[in-house]
Amino acid sequence: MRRYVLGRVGQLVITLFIYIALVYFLLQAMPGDISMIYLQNPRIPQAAREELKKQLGLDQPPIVQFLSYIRNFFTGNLGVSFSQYPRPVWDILLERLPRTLVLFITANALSFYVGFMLGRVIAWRRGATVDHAATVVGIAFWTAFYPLLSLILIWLFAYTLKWLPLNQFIEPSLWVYAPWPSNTVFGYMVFGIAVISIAVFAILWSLGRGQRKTGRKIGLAWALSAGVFAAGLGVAASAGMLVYMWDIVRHMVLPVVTLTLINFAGTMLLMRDSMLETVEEDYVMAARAKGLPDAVVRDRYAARNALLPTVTSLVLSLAASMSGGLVTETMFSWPGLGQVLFRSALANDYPLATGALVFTGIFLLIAHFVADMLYAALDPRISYGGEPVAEG
Amino acid sequence: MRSLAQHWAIFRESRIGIAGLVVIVCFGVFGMMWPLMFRNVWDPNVYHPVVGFDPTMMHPAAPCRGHLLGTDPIGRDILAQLMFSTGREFLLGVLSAMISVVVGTFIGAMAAYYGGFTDAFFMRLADIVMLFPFVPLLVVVGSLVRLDMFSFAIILGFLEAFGGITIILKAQALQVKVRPYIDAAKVAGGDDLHIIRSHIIPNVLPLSFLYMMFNVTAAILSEATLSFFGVLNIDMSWGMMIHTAETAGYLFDYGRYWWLWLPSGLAITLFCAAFYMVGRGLDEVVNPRLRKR
Amino acid sequence: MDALLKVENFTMHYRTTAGHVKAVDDVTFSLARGQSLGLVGESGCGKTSIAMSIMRLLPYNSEIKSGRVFLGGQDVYSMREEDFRKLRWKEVAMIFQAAMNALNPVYTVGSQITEVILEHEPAASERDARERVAELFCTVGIPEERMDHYPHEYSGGMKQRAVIAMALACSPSLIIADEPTTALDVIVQDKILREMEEIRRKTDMSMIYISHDISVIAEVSDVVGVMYAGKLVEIGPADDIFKRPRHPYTYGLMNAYPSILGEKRDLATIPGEPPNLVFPPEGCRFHPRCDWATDECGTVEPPARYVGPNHSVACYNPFPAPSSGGDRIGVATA
Ligand SMILES: Nc1ncnc2c1ncn2[C@@H]1O[C@H](COP(=O)(O)OP(=O)(O)O)[C@@H](O)[C@H]1O
Ligand SMILES: [Mg+2]
Repeated sequence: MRRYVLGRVGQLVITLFIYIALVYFLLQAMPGDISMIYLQNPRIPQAAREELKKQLGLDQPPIVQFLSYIRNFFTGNLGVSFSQYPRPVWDILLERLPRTLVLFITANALSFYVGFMLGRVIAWRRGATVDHAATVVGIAFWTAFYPLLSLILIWLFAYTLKWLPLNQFIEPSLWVYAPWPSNTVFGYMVFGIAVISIAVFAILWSLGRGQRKTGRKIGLAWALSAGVFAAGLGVAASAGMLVYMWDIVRHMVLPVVTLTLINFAGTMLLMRDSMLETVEEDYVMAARAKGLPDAVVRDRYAARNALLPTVTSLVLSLAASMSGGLVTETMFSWPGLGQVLFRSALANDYPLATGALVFTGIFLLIAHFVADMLYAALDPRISYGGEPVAEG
Repeated sequence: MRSLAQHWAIFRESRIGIAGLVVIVCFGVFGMMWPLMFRNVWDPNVYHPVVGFDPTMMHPAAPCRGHLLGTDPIGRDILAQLMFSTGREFLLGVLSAMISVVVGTFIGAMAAYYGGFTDAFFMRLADIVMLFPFVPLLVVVGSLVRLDMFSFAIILGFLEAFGGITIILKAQALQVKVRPYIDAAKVAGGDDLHIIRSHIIPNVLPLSFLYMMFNVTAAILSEATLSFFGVLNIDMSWGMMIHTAETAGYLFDYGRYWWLWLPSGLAITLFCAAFYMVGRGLDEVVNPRLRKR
Repeated sequence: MDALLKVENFTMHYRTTAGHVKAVDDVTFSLARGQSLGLVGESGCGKTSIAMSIMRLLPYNSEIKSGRVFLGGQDVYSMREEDFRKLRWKEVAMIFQAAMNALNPVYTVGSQITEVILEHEPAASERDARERVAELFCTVGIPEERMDHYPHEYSGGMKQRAVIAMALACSPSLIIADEPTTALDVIVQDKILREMEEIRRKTDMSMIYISHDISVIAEVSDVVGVMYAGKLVEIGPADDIFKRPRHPYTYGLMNAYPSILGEKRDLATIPGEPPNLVFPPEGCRFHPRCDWATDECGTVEPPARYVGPNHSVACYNPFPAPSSGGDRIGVATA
């Protein structure tokens, strides 16, 4: 196990290095010498130019520049943005990253869950109306043009029904007298949710271990989870943060829903196809012969095994879903990584764009790694690089 | 291997695939109407998709007799733009998908056939390429060099080719490689290229074709997104139509100017969905377990 | 005699695009408690279909044309699905053709057995179930500590034993073993079969052994049924059938496989192939391959006739009992 994880981490670091190099040289290789565009930008004061040039080492050969970029990268120096001159790139990215992180994780987890559940149902009831309907609706969302979908949702829920705020991260008028900056509240919120999730997970895990599920155990699990959640809310309320957190949550709903709608069908269709294969497996027939209830055959046999290839494809689709996420952020003026990336690209803010691109890559790499680990945890046949247990 | 007629017979069973095909054909007819309309029916000065202008009314004009889908903020006819762009979307989608699949098939077949270093190299490369968030990357690249449609299609095709598609096609090619007739061909003195071309590739082809459909979807969506952000050097496309509405500030008056974004948005979605559906139909041809029972 | 299982005039077809596959045609037999039945026939003749019919696990495209199945006196197909589900494994368990794939790869072998015990015995606790599995493992000869291993950590023979242990888990009255050892090598095959038979005798269960290899059946069955192209062409006490096969097909099968004792013998395969069951031959389904077929055989289906106590055969010209002349057999081997 340890060796397997270490091996994956090693690969991760190498891949990261190559990725940074590729992004760096790709942008360097662009015609019209970016550094000149950069330096001649009228927004940079004349006096700052010479110093910047030296600071960035632009007078040195590309390979030296690259090495110093890498060195700077690992010391947290990504240069200075010039569209927001003189703010350091690192600073901007650190501010934006958590927001993208939360959006991306919530939406992906949600869409995976929804896709998994739906795929499971429609594969089990293959050929039924619900199968056809879900497939067609799923394809429509899966191939929808993101900006269009965002617009329709905004138009429906924010503009016409007025249930949710139009866009952005917070409602400025509410925050005028707020005792904390929005990032602080957001940070507490994320932390609180993480703690609650871990607690709920631990409760479910410790109560769900046995094979005999009694009504009492299930009830207890629900009660405890609800208790933990209520306690979290209580803490937030007593600190006076609840209104502000609620405001952020309300702003998150539409982007999360959009991303979920865009992504769930991928998982759903894969899950369906994958499960259509597992239902033909002998162990599923054996499970029926064993007289297990239909739901158990479906969930613990067909779906559980169909989950494995679905997780693999989830890993493969992370990059695409990241792209979709960045576009969606822009549509909702969600001030995350995506918005920074697009704005800086359009403004020719080259250090910021590179930084955002690199961060996106790192972020994806980590997501990739987590999904890999998840897969290894789900499939007992992965031998973590060790010898398989002896044959009998 | 099954014959083309047999493939078609299976494909025909798939309702989703057929529905997709019908939509694609409709788009084809729609796109082909453009030159006819432009030459014979429409006044080129008014209905030109890029430089047309109708001086008789205020713009953007709501749908009316002369402009069935209205006009955009600078007085161009929406229907004409929609029609004109259709052909280009076909070209873009098919070109980039062709490149990705031809290159991907070839690399996959090579990696499977030679194994060893070739295999390791392309697989690691694919791992890295798959990490690339294409759209943001192309936005950054596009903001530096304004790509036109043609070079955009080529870049996209190659990016896709070296990514996941190589891995999938290689896995398929590997299954073919271990079949006895490959050994027979080797013993009979067939040279490598010949074996790859005449034995491995034909067996991978149905799967390649399937991925071609999915890649058309991906290409069109990417183009639309990038056009929407205004980083491509394209004078007219469905994405550009929405971009025009957005930059002129009409997008955020949602319901009122629906004809500025709804027709083009729907066209993109429908077109992509159609190719995707054909892909799913083909999936049933390639993958017997998915077939209707 | 107390019949545990009765199959009466059972006919079942599969719908396919090519037409109806007449996989089981008018099959009748019964099985007493504590008895073992061997079902033989070339592959594709409908043995698995019969097994699945008894388990009421037929696929979506099956169609029962006529007949009934009684298990312990209850009509299997008139019960509600939910009621019959509760009988599965408790009354009738199964050892699958491909035992290798009958275990779910993502759960430990032990948990797959405790699962079924807990399902069917509401009173049992998890601890009881585990103890039972430990005993079962001991019975079939798997080290107890293997319980918490995954199927991929087992060898082929061990998986087979685990599947047998699983079948025994709820002490069913009947176990159907569909080609239980086909995937194993001959030595292990033999060993496992003998062990199964020993367990069966001790526990007084009934058993249906299904195999395409008559020599496998020979050792372990009290009664042997021979299937050809969806028909049960001959059924009778094992001794009888092996000493005096009456149906030409049975005779052909006996020559087609070496005995498990390993006697060297030239294999005389039956010429030709089993028919396409969408369009089975008129009359006796075996007649195109039969050396003794007469005109009658090609027109009207032969009815089953008793040729001895509990021994019936569906043939117009069954081999006579040995006393009246073995010369035709001589012709056959010539
Ligand atoms: N699900 C099915 N659909 C259609 N035909 C089937 C199906 N299952 C089995 N068959 C056909 O029914 C016949 C009997 O099959 P089976 O019972 O599996 O035979 P056996 O177990 O003796 O080898 C074969 O011709 C087989 O092709
Ligand atoms: Mg069988």
